[in-house]
Amino acid sequence: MKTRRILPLALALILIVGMLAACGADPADIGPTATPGALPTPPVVTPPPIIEDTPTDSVLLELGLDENLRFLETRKITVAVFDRGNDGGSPPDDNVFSNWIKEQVLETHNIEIEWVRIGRWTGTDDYSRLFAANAVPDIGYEYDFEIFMRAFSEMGGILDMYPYLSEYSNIFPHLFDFLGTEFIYWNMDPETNAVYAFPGKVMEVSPVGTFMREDWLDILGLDEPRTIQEFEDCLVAFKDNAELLLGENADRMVPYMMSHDVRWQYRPLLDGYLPSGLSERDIYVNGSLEQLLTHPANKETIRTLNKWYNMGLMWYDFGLYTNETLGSIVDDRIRQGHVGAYNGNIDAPYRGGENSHQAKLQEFVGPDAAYIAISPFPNDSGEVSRLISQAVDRFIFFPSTNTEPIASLLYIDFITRREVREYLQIGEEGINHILHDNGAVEKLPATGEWIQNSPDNIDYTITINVSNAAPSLGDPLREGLSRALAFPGTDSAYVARTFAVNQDPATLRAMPNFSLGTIEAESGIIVDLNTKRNNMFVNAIVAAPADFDAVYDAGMQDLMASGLRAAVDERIARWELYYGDAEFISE
Amino acid sequence: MSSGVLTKRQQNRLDKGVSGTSKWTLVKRYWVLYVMLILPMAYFVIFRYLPMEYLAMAFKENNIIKPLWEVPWVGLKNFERAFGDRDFWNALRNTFMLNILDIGFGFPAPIILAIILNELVFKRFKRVTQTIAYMPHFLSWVIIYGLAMRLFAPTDGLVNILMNRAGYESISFFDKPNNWVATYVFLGIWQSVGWNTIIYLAAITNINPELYEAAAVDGAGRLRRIWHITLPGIKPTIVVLLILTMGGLIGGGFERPWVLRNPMVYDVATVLPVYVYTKGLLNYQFSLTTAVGMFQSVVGLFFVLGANFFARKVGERGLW
Repeated sequence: MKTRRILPLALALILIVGMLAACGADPADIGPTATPGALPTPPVVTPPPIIEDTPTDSVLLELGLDENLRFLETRKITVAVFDRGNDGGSPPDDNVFSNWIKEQVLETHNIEIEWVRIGRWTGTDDYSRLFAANAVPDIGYEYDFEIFMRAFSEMGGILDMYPYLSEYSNIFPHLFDFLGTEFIYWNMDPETNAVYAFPGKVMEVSPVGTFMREDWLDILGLDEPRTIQEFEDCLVAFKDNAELLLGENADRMVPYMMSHDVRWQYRPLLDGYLPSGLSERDIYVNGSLEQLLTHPANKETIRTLNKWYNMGLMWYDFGLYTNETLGSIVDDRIRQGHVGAYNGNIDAPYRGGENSHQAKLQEFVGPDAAYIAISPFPNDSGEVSRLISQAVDRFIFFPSTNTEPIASLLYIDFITRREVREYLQIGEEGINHILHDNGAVEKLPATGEWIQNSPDNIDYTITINVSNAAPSLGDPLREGLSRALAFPGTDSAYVARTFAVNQDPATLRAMPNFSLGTIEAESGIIVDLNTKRNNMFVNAIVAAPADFDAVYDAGMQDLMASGLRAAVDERIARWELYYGDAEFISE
Repeated sequence: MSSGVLTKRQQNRLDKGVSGTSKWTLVKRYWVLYVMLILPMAYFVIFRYLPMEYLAMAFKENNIIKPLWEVPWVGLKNFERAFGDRDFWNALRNTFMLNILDIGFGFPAPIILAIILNELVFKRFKRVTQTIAYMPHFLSWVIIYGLAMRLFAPTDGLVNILMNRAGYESISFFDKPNNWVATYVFLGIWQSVGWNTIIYLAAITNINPELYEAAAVDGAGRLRRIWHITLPGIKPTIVVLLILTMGGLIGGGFERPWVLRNPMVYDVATVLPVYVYTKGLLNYQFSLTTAVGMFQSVVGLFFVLGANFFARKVGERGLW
């Protein structure tokens, strides 16, 4: 099959149809179990109602605001902004967009803002230093709630936003309209009602994708694999036909590429081993570490990888390249055309323009070489069911040194306005994007002062994270059309296929938000446990098959003894306290 | 000049000057030197001694936000937590093991290299060799790791590719614990040996050349001269450096083990500085981190004192 030759118009239509199917519902709205529906509402957390009435004059006066929510006297706040230090980028605190925000916020709310740079890749270290100096910006954001936010809230360093959010919700209409109470009270403590942070919304949560060489399947006359066994058969066929497929480079054949980051890349395979009747209790009780580590399906998944490794289907060196400076070696092997299958983001082969995996592959191997998205890991019921993470993004918090919580929330309300975030995402027409007649937005690689330091300026639009190359325009059709233009140089059929395969709502199951409060036993140990888990996975995979059980079990015992047992026990106790012996809590 | 040629009066004046019955006179005479001393002293006071106040964190609740004096005391809880953690003992064992191997193989290496360099007759060759030997000192461990992986990786490393072509099996330089330890020590020596020769070469140049000439006249060969003149001549330097090295026996750097480790060798590669970072800093357990750091410092101090005591016992001058 040579899908590249299909008419571009037809492919764009496929893409749009796929997009409409996939994006019709917010991932947060993809329900648990087999019945996609509303986000589960745990009975233990009852968010306060949103105040619909217009704020009274006395309330406004008390807060120092006029009827247009503009402060009578200028307020000053400091706001964090990620500094990515990207080549050719502009100063994140002094560029067209940051200055536009400053002007607009001053004009709209009479709030003067000062940016504080936080290293994108050193954020938690930077915040630690700023916390120690009581100099954290009034509005901070960071991805890591469970470890970072929790540690500093326990130290008394983070402000409880609940009183302001619950009492003045009618002052922040855009924020409540966009995030809703589900997100704003996402981490509300069920006992104290404290809200130390709330997350931004990820507009599209995707599972990890699986990709396979389409041209190799064609050469060997193989069908696209649809089961774990068929997937293995394909890998074996690639290995056995290495000379045919790679010629003099046959010894560099890697049928299935995986890096040391097993816990993420094995996710599609794990979905195949998780039982179809996986209960919400199972998800909660096994949820101390990512991927439900304590669930038995993990061991079977790693056992399969151990088998493949010992069959020579995986890269012998995969566990060694942990240093980020050498991480590109894995990508390079994929680009060079030595890899039969791999896992990655759902657009992994196609993102990156002329440097994408696919573009480089075709440059090195030829125009027929291509990776296609596949879905070969059904569960015990024969259906593909993919447990995807919650649609939460960075967590926004105020340090306890923040003396302007209302001004800070008004800033967030401003940045959440539809027109504001859309402008920041797509920038200036003719400079940052082209607006097509059909409404599609084609992003342009702006340079100089108009450059966007982060994709779609997500470092400023902190309540929203668009993903997978399409700006959030509030219209699935426009978003689909825009996405079709977002992978220059890649046949859109491949892009359409990966979104159709990986965003099929019938196969996606979103993790519920249980909101049962913090687990004391997990305090201060999660990073350590994650490291132990990662090491255990690699060591179990490279073990001789006869040693697999011993290596895996020893690793799990170490994890359990290092605090995981206590965490699981506390989760079981907490579940029983709130839900008794119920297995499911969703409607 | 030996004191034997001085008169008793001259000797008394000299002693008086040195022993300083009139210290104020000395201060007045050398005041410029004392002024110059202010800056380094200020550095040590501000950056080394004043921060020691925060050692109290080791005995306090984990909190870097409140002022130190407002954080409640918890006694030895942080030490108990560290000592009750088997990962701590594992890291301590690894730290000892790797540092002892570093000392065992890495400490003599620059001495040997310095002696070899000193014996080279062709000065230009000596200088070129010295320069090449110094170079790795200026490379970061990330770069060294990258080079090492390119050379020693199991399937893609140049050494193993050549070995395979010669009909030999690949050697797992990085993914088997014992091999990793050997590679770790080897890379450490390679990186530091040239730089560490500097101090020994300087010590060698202080040896009176007449001693070598006299020994040569007496028929001593090259090895005899090294054994009886060079080594005794640099022995005080060796002893002082050894004592200082002992202070880092359970310390050591963070970058080298952090960069070189991989999931297959964590059991031997996690040393105390890495433990402090992963268990303490990444989990925001600052009091635990301080407790472990304090433990390292105190034990290191005992090692230095012990080594110094031993050196003085066997007739060496030691540090003081």
